[in-house]
Amino acid sequence: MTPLVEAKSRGFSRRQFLFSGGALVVSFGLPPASSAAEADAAAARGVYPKPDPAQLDTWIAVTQDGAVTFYTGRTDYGQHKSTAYAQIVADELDVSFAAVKPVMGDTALTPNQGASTASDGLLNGVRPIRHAAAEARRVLLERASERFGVDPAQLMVADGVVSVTGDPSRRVAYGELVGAGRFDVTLKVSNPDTTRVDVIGTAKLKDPARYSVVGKSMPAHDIPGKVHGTWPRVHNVRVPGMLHARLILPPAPGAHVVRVGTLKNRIEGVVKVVEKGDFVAVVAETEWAAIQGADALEVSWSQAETLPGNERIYSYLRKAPRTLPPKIVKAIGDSASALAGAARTFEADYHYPVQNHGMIGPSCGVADVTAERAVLYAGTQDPPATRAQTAKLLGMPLGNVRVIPVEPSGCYGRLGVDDATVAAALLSKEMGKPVRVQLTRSQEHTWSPLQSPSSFSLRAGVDAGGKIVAWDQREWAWGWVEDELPLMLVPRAEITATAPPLFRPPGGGENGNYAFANLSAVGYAVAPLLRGTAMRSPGRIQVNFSGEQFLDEIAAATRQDPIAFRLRHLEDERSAAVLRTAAKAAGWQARPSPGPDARSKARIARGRGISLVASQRSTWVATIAEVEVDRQTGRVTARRMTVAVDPGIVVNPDGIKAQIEGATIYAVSRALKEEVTFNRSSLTSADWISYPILLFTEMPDIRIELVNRIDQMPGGIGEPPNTTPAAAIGNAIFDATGVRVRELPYTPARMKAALAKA
Amino acid sequence: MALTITVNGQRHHVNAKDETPLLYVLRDELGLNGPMFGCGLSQCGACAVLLGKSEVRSCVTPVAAAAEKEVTTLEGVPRQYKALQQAWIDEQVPQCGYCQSGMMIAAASLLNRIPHPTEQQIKRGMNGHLCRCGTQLRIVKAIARVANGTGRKTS
Repeated sequence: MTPLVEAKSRGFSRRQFLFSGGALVVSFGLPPASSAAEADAAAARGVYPKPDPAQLDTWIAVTQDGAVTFYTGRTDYGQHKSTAYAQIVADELDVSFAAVKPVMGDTALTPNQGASTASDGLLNGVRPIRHAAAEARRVLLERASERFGVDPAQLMVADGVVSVTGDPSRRVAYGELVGAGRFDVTLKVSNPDTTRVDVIGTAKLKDPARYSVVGKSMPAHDIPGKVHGTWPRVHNVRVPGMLHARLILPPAPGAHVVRVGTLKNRIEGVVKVVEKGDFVAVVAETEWAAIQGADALEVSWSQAETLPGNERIYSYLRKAPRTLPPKIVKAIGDSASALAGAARTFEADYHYPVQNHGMIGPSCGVADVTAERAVLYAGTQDPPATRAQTAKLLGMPLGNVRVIPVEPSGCYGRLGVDDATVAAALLSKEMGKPVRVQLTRSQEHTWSPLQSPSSFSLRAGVDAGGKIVAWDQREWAWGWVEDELPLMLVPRAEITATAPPLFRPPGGGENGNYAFANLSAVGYAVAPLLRGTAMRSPGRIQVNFSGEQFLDEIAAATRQDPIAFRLRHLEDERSAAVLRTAAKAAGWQARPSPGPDARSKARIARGRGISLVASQRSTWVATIAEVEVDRQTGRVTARRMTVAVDPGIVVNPDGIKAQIEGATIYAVSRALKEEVTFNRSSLTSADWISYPILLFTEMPDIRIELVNRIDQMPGGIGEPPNTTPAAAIGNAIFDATGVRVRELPYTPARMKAALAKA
Repeated sequence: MALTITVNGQRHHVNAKDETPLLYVLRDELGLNGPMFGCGLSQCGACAVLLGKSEVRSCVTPVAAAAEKEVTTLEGVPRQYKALQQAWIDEQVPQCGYCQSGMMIAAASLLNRIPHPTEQQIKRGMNGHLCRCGTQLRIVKAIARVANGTGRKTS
C-alpha cells in the first residue's frame, strides 16, 4: 500500500514542508537554516513554534531556484482562493504565476489568521500576503540596487529577474539575490491572531491597473490533482500504525448512556470499546471492523424529548426564553413614529427553516497524540480553534499541538467546528496510537451543528407617493454559541446547549443598502434546541429572504416595478449598477407584479423575481430568477438564474464564475427543497432521501454578468450570490401566481396548500 | 479463504470476507483514493467504480460480487476515458472535488451506454450523483465536450 499522504509528524522545518506532485510530503532532505534547526529540536521535544506575523519571512519565501512560497493561516477547501492569492503575489512580486506556491493553515508553519469563514478570504485573508509580497519586492530591488550601484527607481523586474532600465545586460534573478534565503525585515502588525491581521512595510503597492496576472482566468492549481485522484484529502490520510474509530452517538439530543454492553458477536479487528461518560466509540484495526463493531455494540440510552417538532419551531422561537438582551442591529431615525404617521402600512411574518450544510463526505480527522505532543490532520476551517479545543481537551499546552489542514469535503461553514478531529485526538490519547475518525452519513446529518431557524416580523410604512418612510424588522433565532467545545461530540455527545449563544447580526438594513429614513432592526437570541453554527451566508440569507420579499409585497401593493421601486430607495451606485446589469441581461420588462400568468388558468405559470444584496460592503449581487409553477402538482422549477455581481476587482473571472454558479445552485436547492425535520425526540433528516438536495435534472440555467472595479478591494464571492436566490424565487412565484409564500422551502406540498388557499 | 479481484488491470489477493463492501477493500487493503465514502447507502455516488463497463456503488457492493469482473477506479481510468479527465480540467469542474471521482466514473458508464447523449440524457444519466459545491453545469458541459468529439471519443 502506498499512502497518498505520507505523514511523518516528528520533526520538521518550515521549508521542509512541501507539496510534491500533488501529494503532501514532509521531507527531511533539505539543509535547514539555523533557526529551522532550533525549531526541529524544539519540535522533537513537542514544542511547536509560533510563526511571528511581524517577520516578512513568516509570510513569504523566495528560494535560490526562484520559487516563491507564500504562507497563510487561511485554508482553501475548493474555493480556489489559493489560486487567486498566487495571482496577487505574482503581480506584486513580478514573478510568473507558475513560480508561486501556497502553504496554508498549518499552525506550526503559518501565521494565525483565524478562521476561513464568512467569505472573507479575499476581503481580509489576502491583504497581509499582498503587502508582504510588495515588501519582498522592495527588499529584493534594494539588494539589486546595491549590487548594480543604481537607484532602485532605475530597476525593472520581469518574471523574477531584475534588470537595469536601458541596460538589459545588467540583470540578476531574485534567486541570486536571496542570499541565505531570509529577508530579516520587521513589519508593522495590526490585529494579530485574528481574521483581520495585516502587516505593513515600507513598500508601495502596485497600481492594480498594472496587474497582468490578476484579472486572468488562471487554471486552479488543485484541479488536476482532484481529477486524477492525487490531491491530498483528510479522508485519505494514513499514518503508520493508525487505528480506525466509529463514534456511537445517542438516538436523541439529551439522551444519556444508561449502559454500554458488549459486542453481540465477535468482530475480528476490534481493539477496544472506549467509554467516557456519554462518549462511546469502537476502535478497530480497519475501518470496516470499526463499522461492524459499532453495529454490534449494545448501548442503551435514556429517553429524551427535548424538541417541539419542526412544524412548531417558529412558535417556539417567539416564546422561548431569551439568552441575551435584544440586540439592536440598526437604528436610524424613529421608525415607530414614522410608521404611525405613514400614509399606508404593511406587515408580514417570514420563516426560514433549520438547514444542513450537507457535506458529501462526512467529517473526518486523524490525530497522532503522544505524551509530549499532538499532531492533527484536520479538515477544519478554523485551525487555531481546533488547536485550542484539542489542547484544552487533552490538558496539553497550546504550543504542543499542531494542526495540519488537509482538504476535507466541501463544508460551507460546517467545519468551523471540527468534531471528528477533536474526537480522534481524545481517542488517540486513549489508545496511544494514531486514530482516524469518520462520521457515518446519518451521524453527519443528525449530529453536525446546523443552521438556526429564523422567524421574522416585518412592518413598513410608505408615504402618499409610495416611498418607504419606515422599516421595522424583528428576528428571532438561536444563532450559535461562542465556545463550541462543550457542545462538540466529545467529550460528551451532548447537544443541548448550555453556553450563551453568540447572536450573529441579522443583517438588518445593511442587506440591501437601502436609504430608509427610519429603520429599526432588532434581533432576539433564544435558547437553542440543537447545536447551531454558521452556514453559507449566515444571517444575510435569512434577512434577504424576508426583507427582499417584503419589499416586493409593498411594490406590488403600490403597483410599482420591483427594480424601479428598489432604485427609488438606493443612493448607492454599486447597488444600482448590479440591478441594472441584471435587468438588462435577463431582458427584464418593467411592470408591477404579479404578471400576466397570475390571471391565467393555465397549468404552468411563469414569473420572474429579483433580489439584491450589498454583502459586507464588499460584494454586490442582484439575482433574477425565472420560475415555472405547476399549479396541479405545486412543483416549482427554477428555469434560469441571471446573476450580476460586483466583487470589486475581479482577480480570476472563471474562478469567480465557478463560485457564483455553485453558490446559486446551493441557494436554489435550499429554497426549493431543504428543511431539517425532527419530531419531539430526534432529527428525522438523516440521509439524502430524508434531506433531498437539488439534482442534475433540476438545475437552472445560470447567466453571469461581472462588474469589474479594479480600483476596489476584492470582495467575498462564496456567500454573496448564495444570499439572493431564495427571495428572488419567492418573488418570481408571486409574479407567476399572485400567491406569496412566506416560509421555506417551496416544496410541492407547501405550494399546493398555498395555491389552494388563494 | 482469500478472494482474488482484478482492479485497474492488476490481480490482487485480498483478505476481506466475501460480504465486505468493495469500497473498504479498495481503500483500505489496496490503498486507493479515487472512490470515497459518502453515504454507505447508494444515495450519493461518491464511491462509484466501474465493474466491467458499468458503474456500481462500491459502498454497497460485496467484494465477492467483483471477483469475476474488472474493477476500474479513477486511478486506473484506461485510455478511452482519459478524454473525460481532460474535459474536467478544461471546464475547470471540481471545487472541493469530493464527488468528482464518482462523477467521472458515472460519465464513463453513461458514455458506454450512450456514446452521444443529448443534454437531457446527460442530466438524467447523472441524476443519481450528488454534488454540493454546485459543479453540475460544468459536469454537463465536460461530458458534452467529450461526446461531441471536442475531446477524444470514448469507446
